[in-house]
Amino acid sequence: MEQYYSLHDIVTFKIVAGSLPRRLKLEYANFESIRIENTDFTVYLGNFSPSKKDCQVLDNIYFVDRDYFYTEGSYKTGKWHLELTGFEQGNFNVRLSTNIVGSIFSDMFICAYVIDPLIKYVLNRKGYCAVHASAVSRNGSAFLFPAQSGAGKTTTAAYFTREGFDFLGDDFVILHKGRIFSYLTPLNIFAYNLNQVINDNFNTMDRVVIKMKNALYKATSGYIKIFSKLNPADVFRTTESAELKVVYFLMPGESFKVSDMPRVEMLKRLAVNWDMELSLLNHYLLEYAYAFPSSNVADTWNTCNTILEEGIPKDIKCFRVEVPRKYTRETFVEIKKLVTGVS
Amino acid sequence: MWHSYYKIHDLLDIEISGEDDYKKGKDLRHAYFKTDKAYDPDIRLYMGKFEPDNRDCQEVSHRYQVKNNYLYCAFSSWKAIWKMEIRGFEAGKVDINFHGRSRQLKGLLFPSFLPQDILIPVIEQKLMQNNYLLIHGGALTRDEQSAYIFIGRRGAMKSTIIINLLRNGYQLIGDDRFIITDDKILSFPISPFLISYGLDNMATEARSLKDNICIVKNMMQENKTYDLPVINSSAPKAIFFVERKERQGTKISKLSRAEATRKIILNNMLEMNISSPETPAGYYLQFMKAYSFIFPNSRIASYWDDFYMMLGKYLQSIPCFSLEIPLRYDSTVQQRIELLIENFK
Repeated sequence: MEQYYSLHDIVTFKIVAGSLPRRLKLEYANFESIRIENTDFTVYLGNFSPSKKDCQVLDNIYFVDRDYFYTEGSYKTGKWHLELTGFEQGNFNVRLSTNIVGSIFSDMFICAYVIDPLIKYVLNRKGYCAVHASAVSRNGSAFLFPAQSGAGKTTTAAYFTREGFDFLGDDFVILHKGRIFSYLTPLNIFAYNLNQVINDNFNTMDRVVIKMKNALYKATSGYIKIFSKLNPADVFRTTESAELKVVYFLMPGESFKVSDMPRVEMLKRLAVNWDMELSLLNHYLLEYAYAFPSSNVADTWNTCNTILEEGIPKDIKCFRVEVPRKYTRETFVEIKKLVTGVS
Repeated sequence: MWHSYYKIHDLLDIEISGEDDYKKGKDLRHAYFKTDKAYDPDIRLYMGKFEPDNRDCQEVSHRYQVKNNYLYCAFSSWKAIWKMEIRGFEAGKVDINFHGRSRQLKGLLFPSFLPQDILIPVIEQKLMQNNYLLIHGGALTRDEQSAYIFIGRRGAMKSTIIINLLRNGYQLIGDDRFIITDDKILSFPISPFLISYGLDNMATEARSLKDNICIVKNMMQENKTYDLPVINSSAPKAIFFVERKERQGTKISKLSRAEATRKIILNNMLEMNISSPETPAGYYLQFMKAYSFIFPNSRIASYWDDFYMMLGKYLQSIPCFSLEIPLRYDSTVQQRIELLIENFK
């Protein structure tokens, strides 16, 4: 079977599989599209033979040639084979086989470690940046909340939707020349965030399951992390895009505090954050860049810097917002004061 | 508790100390630089239980705790468990506390190896602050005046080439790392016991089970010395990037300085960015990114840009080549390589 996906016609991809794993379906539900000719990349799930040819061997496990990359690896209890072809010259094909397709780990792996980074990579090639941030908008103006995981992106965005703002994304949003485009993937519900939204949108049984998953996470020291998923398009009013108005960098601190963040600092942080979110692909890109230092793959990080510089107009202000570890309603009230002061 | 001291040329003084359970194999890695007591070490590494000084830190990626000039990280997996703090992460004297172990055989036999891994990226950083660059690669010389450098990813057969050149009258400057500065390169041999064993017993760097057992036996002999002649300083003549390919034959082609500079840096970065690492050194690039996120104007944040500028200068008059060798390494490949080097005389 084949399923087509489109992110605002900016990036399109196709997944070809015997059957589409349930988690994948949930993850990209909001990008589903009718048939598209010549998608930006295609992912084939299932066994395959690498078309290895005369490759250079790096680290004994990476096989590279111009416009070709193959590796085998393992993650927790799963093993995989991954082949990338045509990522420089077009006709980008991805072949992925894992030994336990259909299991929770495998499906999460496919999204988080393969497809998500590929989406971000292709966005980068096209001059867009997947910023690790949440964002909301009102009257066509977008407010961007870049932050590390756990700093309060999701909670902040969820609270704003209750104040009449439109939801653009809670984990990533797409930035391009002063505009923020939505990136609607399921909200990761964990007991530590979204208490209001959990109560409103899950029944008692669901809430018990969430608490159990959270306990499992704690008991295994983070080894087993199972998110419950909630489609934001089902619970929030969303919009396609809005013009970037202000940037609020959320950073964990002792108490609520706001200060200016100089533009150069903001751009550097965004670039590092983008780099850190590429997961496995980051390493593969470095290996390929080592083999082909003049390729556009090797330029990925410079390109990101340029996209951010052009993406955030010079007159846009950026604030560092320190948010206490325990994010309460009071915290949100303070943030709202900041935002509505300018909207 | 035990103490060992090392002196890296006249550039850095290092003190390693630890509790008795870390004693075995403590001097094997940096035996070449062993020295008598140093009084004001630039880098201190302590192995044993410690209480981290990680209050008032900012957490990054749910894993790294960062504050000014400091980083703390705790790691746990089926491969290894450890915690480590680095004071002086950005500047000044470095103080590292480490407690933990690899859960795999080598780690159980030689528990000081895992913590000692972190010294390499830290030494690299401190050397750069003094305008010296520690490069991942090998370097050899025949006449002491001219040095030939071999750079490659793991598994590129760099070590095999080096062992075989050593057998044919070349002398070692570095097997896995070397130091480069304006007009010369300096030695940095690591694990002389491995090179010695290789010279005596192995055709290529591929180790059989028997090799591994013998190596471990040698490592367990406390006072074994390794008589490996090392040339401390030489002038770099050419750089060869060893690329192992699935096709037949050897091939050499010229690389531009820009390409060579980028490759050297990426190679160094990759050494600090091992996928699924158990060792703290394999996370070092992540440490730097985490620190750069919190302190975007720090020296850590501009490290690679600074490295690039410095390296570009140092490579100015050194020709660089890509040396493609086949997967199967044999004496014809070795002969071809020696012929290529001869052409530089």
